[in-house]
Amino acid sequence: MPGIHNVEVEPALVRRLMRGEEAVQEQIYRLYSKPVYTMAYRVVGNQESAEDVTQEVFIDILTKASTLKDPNAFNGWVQRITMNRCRMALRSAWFRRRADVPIEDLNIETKANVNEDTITASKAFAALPNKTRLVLWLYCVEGFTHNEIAEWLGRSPSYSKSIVNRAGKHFESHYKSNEVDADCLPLLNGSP
Amino acid sequence: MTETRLTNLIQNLPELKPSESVWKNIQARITPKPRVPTPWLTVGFAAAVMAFAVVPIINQQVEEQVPESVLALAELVEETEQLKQELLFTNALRGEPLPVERGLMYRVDALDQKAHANGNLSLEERQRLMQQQLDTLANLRFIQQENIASVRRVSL
Repeated sequence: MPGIHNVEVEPALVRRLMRGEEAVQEQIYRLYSKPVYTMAYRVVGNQESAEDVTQEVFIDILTKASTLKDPNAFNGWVQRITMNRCRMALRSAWFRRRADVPIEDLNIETKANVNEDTITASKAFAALPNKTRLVLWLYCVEGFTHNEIAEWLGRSPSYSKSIVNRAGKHFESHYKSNEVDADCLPLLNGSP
Repeated sequence: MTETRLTNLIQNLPELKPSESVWKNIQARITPKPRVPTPWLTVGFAAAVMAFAVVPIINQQVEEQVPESVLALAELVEETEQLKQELLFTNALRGEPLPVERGLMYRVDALDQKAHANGNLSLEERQRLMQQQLDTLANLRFIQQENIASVRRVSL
């Protein structure tokens, strides 16, 4: 699954957006909506909040594009906006109030034509604490280094490393409790 | 579980698509709406014109009509009255005004009565009254400073 940083966008298209051309706004939305929404959904864990985050991210992108200086830095800029919006959503009073409500049962995967193992991975990911999901997503999907994550969160790199390490253990125990044979895990990775 | 395996598992989670209403909401929020002037805007604009253009002109005209000495005396009377009120407040805190303070209060009131005729006074009378006001004001300031200092000493 490609992250935001993997989206291929023409710098000319970004320049047109920066000039305020309304015609390209939808194109930009169609290019980035899936990775932005996927990250938001995985981090906040429910459809309503994820759609709210996506909406706020695109409002920022489409209304503040003129402030961007380098069109080649567009992906990084979108990443940062999405990260900040996800973090704000996790911090919001509304989100904290509903923290005791269990995270959705990932009906999106259930509806989609995906295999049982992917659902197990989804559930294992969803069962992680809020901040862990954010850090793990940035590290595994968006390609951030531990140092970059630590700098953004104002913590030490070992904080990010320990989160990833703990998440590995959590996944392992989750797979064991779901009676998935450890030998099957490489198959889930798409490697023999 | 190794980091590589964990990364692969998370990267293999399916990509999700937001519902179409998200784009419609975004469009609704970023599309500029035609601005309709409301009565409040008109009222606000009129108030701004009054504040910035009309009122200064009226003030200027009033100031031109009233002699400068009358305004100066009025300011002095106002300042004296303000200081008197402060002194009264300090006295109330302490309980009983000192004889010198009581004398000053009578003087302030007497000067205030004279100042009521401000506009009808001759220039010499007004200047004499201003001098008396200045002296009273200086006495009031001195007494008030003494009071404040004593309050500080007590609180320390």
